[in-house]
Amino acid sequence: MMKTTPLFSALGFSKIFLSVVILIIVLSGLAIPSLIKSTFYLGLFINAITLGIAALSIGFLAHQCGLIIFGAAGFTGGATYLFGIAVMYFNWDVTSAAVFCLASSTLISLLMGMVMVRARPLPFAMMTLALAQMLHSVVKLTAYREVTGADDGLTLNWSGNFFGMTQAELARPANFWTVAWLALCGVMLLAWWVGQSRAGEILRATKANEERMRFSGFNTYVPRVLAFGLAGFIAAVSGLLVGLHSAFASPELLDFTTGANSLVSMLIGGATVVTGPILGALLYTMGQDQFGASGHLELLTGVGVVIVVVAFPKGAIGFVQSGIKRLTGRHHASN
Amino acid sequence: MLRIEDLSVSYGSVKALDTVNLAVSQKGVLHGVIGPNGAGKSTLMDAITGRCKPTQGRVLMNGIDITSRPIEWRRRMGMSRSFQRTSIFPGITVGQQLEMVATQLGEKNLHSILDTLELNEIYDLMADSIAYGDQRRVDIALALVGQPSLMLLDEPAAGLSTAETVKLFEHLLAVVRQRNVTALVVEHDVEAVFKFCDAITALDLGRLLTTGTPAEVRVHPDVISAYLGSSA
Repeated sequence: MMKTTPLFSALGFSKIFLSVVILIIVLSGLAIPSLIKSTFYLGLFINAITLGIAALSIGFLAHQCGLIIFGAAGFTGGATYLFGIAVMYFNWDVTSAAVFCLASSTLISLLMGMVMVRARPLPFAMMTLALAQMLHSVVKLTAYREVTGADDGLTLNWSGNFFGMTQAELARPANFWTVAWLALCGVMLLAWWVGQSRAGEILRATKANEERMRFSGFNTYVPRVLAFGLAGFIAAVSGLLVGLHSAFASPELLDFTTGANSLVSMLIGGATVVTGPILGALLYTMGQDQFGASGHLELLTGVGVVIVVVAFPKGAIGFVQSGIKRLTGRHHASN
Repeated sequence: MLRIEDLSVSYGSVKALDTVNLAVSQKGVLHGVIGPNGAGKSTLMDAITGRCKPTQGRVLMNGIDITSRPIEWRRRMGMSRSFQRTSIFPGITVGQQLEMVATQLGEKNLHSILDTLELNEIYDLMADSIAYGDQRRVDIALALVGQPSLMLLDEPAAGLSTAETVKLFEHLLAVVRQRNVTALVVEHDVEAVFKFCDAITALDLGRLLTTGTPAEVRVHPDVISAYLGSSA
């Protein structure tokens, strides 16, 4: 029997070499604040990271399960509110609140996933949107002003240090970069690892042909619930970062347009690899900055998104991948 | 092994299957199911495998009533199936998908399936890049993984040429004999069924006409009038 060649070997990399490369990238990223002195641009990149992580949660579920989250804001903004409620209402210290935020968001996602992943892709997408809109309405209710701050939102103040940083230090982009960068690397590695694992293989096979999977003895339901839970966790990381950095939870975080930013970032970047949504978020954030300066933000964003989606159906990362393939193909041909 | 008692399936006012009774007890045989379009062949397959819900009757496997059991449960009982449309995993290699299913079902002799169905040559190829005839063999291999005792194949030769159909049935005969698995095969190519199957069931308009050896079925008056006409 012939054996399938593992991806790393096919690329000529050993696992150790790949691990060293990843470690170098992670450590190099920590040095970025010493290279970019501008607080504005560092802040812009931090926004791209939080948006990218939210886009990654959408992209992960889209690539692995074929399910699109329209209401990503419900998962990111919901996590920001959970963090805010923990520090303001329960008066927990920042680390406990962060753990609570991630754990409860993941648990809620798992519970919702038990109901939602049974739906077909379009109803699923609409249910996530409905959920986000419901949350948006709930936090604005004056009856819950004490807990959510209603229309005014929650201004957050907390005690304790988060990874040795006070609230004031976390608000400074140069300091917060370390937290954001490590969180980004962590969720990217997690999503990549799950995608490469047997669980990822089962999820993609289920996406391709669920009936055959069931007739092959696979439970196709539980893996999708777990994938939804993981997507919820990744989105919660994004929401937590927003809460830690901005120290503010506002109803706008739960608005459809906030979720749409993540969705568009995923479309621009592509979802086939974990770097796609991150690249998409970076391009989207930079584009928004440039378009905003022109005074025609919505118009230029719309035109830009249409051009990118039509020209690069597999996203920017798909374009990069095909470019590399062409180059390496030529290289092999010339050899 | 498999017993069907008074099985009926209705779609609205249309009776796709009408009180069908069938018993398949012999191991290591090819059992063909023939009939014109609308005879209820695929519905019979779907009702046996749990893909559609019978309106009446029971499906028993090894004496256990499996009529309302979920698909995964039936698979663990030893029932597998292939579909009218090729049902493989397009985005991964032939080897990856067979190994994935083999791991799930604890299949130890995947290599013998690959050898018998001549799949070694295409093992590392992406499943959607191989020829249609090869895809049909991969489909059958996926149904064979996990040592099923009963395999239901819905038109395995659909879309194949006469030569490819003959080759596919030769492969099928080889695997059912080697692995002592019984295959219930729905097939439009009546000549192939008569040539290769050990037993045949004939259906017409949802009703069972007869079950017997190819020689018995070939001379059955109802079968002659319903399916074979003057060419029988």
